[in-house]
Amino acid sequence: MKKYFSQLKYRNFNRLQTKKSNTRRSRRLSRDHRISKRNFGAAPKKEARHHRKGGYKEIIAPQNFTLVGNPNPEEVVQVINKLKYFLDKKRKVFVVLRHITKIDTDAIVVLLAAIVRFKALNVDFNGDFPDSWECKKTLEESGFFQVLFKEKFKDKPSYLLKSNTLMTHASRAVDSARTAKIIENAAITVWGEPLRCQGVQTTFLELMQNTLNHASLEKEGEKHWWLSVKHEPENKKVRFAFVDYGVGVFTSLENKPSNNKFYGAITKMWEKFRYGDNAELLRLILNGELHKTITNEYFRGQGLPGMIDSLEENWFSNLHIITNNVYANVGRNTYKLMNLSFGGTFLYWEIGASNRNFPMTR
Amino acid sequence: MNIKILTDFSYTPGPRYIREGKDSGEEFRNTLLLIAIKKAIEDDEILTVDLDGTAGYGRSFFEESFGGLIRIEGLDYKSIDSHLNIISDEEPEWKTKIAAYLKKAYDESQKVVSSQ
Repeated sequence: MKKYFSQLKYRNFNRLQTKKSNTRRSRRLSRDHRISKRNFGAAPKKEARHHRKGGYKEIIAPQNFTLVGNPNPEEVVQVINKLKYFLDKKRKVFVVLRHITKIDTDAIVVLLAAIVRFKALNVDFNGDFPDSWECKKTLEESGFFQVLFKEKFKDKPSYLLKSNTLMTHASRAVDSARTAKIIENAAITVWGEPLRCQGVQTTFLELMQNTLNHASLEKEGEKHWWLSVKHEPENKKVRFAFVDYGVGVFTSLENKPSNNKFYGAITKMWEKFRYGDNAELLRLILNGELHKTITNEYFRGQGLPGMIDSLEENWFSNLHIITNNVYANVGRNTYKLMNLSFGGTFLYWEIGASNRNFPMTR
Repeated sequence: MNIKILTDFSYTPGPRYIREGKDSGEEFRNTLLLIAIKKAIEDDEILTVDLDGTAGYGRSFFEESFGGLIRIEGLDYKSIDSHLNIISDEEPEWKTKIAAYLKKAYDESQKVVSSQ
């Protein structure tokens, strides 16, 4: 018997099928829209698909994405190392941030530095947003998305990313005017007026000079230093996180050329102190023993050891240092060996109401 | 004879070398310190260098500017020492460090002389 599809029962059946199909299509589009909102790359839907197909190398950020005070900083260092590894290989990455429940300035500066380097080398960098609203807000405030959404990106000698509470600076040069201004602004948050903190300026100068001279084994002035400054007016405190993606203290010392005064310094230090590991060696270096051993001078010398002078003179507080495989909470005099190595040097310190200052002179 | 770094040179003294950034120790030595110390030695006067009032210094700035007087410019250590007065009331430790940079540059220059 011939079927008449124009009959009512067939028309109803077709209507129902069309409705179901439209519902499925609408659900699929809505899901894709949600995914595209969650990812932060330029063409998220497409990139997310590629990422699933393996076009992107996936890096999963840990729940606690902080360095200072984290009992397990290795988890963050591992993310940093993976970023560095894939950047060296020019492989595009997808950073999974959605699991993060805690994030802070110290780790954000590291992430910012990474994303800028990816962008500067035209290597794709994508990822998702943290599910935690607070973490997402902190990332937004950091200027992270300012960099991320820039389509045209040039490698520049210096950068400035800012929001109301967080500023991130980067430069290849020793920029004393910039750091003096940063200190004056910090003083306004802490003491309510611009002031001078010479010991902090000395520290900045030493760190910038270190990045310039020692961060690269091949060529001077090749690497940027990165500084994030977070103002906490409610606590009258300003927090600083400084990072250079150089080679780190021990690698730098191990690779000094034979005409450098620090050539063979690690061997000399071991012969003199018979230290156990790099944690103990860093403690000796910060106490000035390296400088004294090599130069026979009584004072600590330049660079990181000079920072300890400024810490002891109360120009700032709460100093933390990560370099290669050592994490040091210098204020508490604890030096911990990590089970992996950070390729560079990270420093954190704070200025609060109890620290020193001098009035302005201009 | 006086040099006040804040007013005569910069509020924000910078790195060691001119190529590394603005207001370097090398620039300070070339433009002010060398001329002033030479004149002070010639006229047998005291050159006073006042460090106070700036935003702060890096160690390399002083090492290059003062140590460089001997290491680069070849001036006599004893002449410098007897014609130089440093004022640093805000951070007195710079006085001893500058003295040490001068002494070290002198010692190194002696090593070079004895090895020749």
